[in-house]
Amino acid sequence: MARENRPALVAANRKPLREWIEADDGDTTCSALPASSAQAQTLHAGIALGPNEGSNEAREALAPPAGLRLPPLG
Amino acid sequence: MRPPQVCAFLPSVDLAGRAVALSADIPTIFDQPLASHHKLIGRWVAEREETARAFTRAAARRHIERVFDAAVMEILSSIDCVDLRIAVLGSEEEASPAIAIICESLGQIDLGWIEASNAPTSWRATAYRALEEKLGRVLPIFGYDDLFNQISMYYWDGETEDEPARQSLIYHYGVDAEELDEMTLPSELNARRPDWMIAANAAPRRRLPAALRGKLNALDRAYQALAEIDPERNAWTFDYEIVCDYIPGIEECSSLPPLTLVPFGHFTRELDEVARHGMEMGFMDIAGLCPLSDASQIDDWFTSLRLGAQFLACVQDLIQFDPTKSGGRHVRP
Repeated sequence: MARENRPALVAANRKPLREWIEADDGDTTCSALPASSAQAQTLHAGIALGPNEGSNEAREALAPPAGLRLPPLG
Repeated sequence: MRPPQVCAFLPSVDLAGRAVALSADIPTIFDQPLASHHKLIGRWVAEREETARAFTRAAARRHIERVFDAAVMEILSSIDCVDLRIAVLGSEEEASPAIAIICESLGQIDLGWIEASNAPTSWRATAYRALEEKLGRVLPIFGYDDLFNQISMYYWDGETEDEPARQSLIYHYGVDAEELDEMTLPSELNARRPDWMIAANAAPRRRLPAALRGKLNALDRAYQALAEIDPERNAWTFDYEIVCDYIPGIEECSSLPPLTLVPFGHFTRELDEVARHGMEMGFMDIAGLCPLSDASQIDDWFTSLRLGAQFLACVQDLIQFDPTKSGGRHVRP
């Protein structure tokens, strides 16, 4: 499979301590962060739930995998 | 046979019936800009260093932490009578960062020769009284009077004499006369104190051996130095309301300090009783919390930290000393 011809990670920015303290805007355009694929972004969005999201829904219990015998409770 | 179900839940969010969500405290990307408390300490670090060495942001953060930790350890490393941890805290309310001293030790402080030697009672009582009077200046610690007051509130409705305490037990708990004989009353609790715990047994300084007198005088001087610290820069004091702002949830903890000067061997049941809430929910283990708005205040904070450590060194020196040994040699651990 052909790979895109670009470095996987750009070297992290280096600055004197003072500059990180006094003049660090958060590097919003920082190229050091690898871009996620659309599939990975969908997965991340799925994992990071909002505070109220989903908590009040009536949920169906997960079906145990076939062949897994759980001991009775109590 | 049922058709295979499509799971209604998002991956990883419902494991064994429990919802799992990422906390808002976890940054959504790594390597965020330095937070306000890193910046505050970072300015202090930068002023101490001539070099214009270049760091990645993560390395800058680690460097700030390492330099601060090393400076703290240089001061606290000689203290072994108690474990103290220093934490630099940010504030949710956009307030200044703060530096907290947290006591990690729990239980009775080791009293050395004061509790377990054959030295004259008056010497032991004098040393114990000095600790009772002074140790609370830097450590979260309670003494016998605090224990007595707690027990009095628990069992005797605040009464401190036997007869009113007995009446209170009958009134509130319906205790009959036979059962009353098994209940602890104030005089019985007081009588359990060993002689060296009783302040009246302390001797005037001039009657003590010179070496012991020297230890107590050194303790006095270190204590006096603490009294002269600027209250705004004092590492060893705190305001409870301010602590609650910086450490959410601490209100749930017991108001009881984690350390005590009360000997466990003599008051096991009572100490277990008053410490129950703390054992379940945590103790009020803050030794100091000092908000600092400017890096220029950090040197003063360190000065007061050092004065507290010097005071604790005098406490250790007194506890590890054995005046019954000729020449006042120190007891080997």
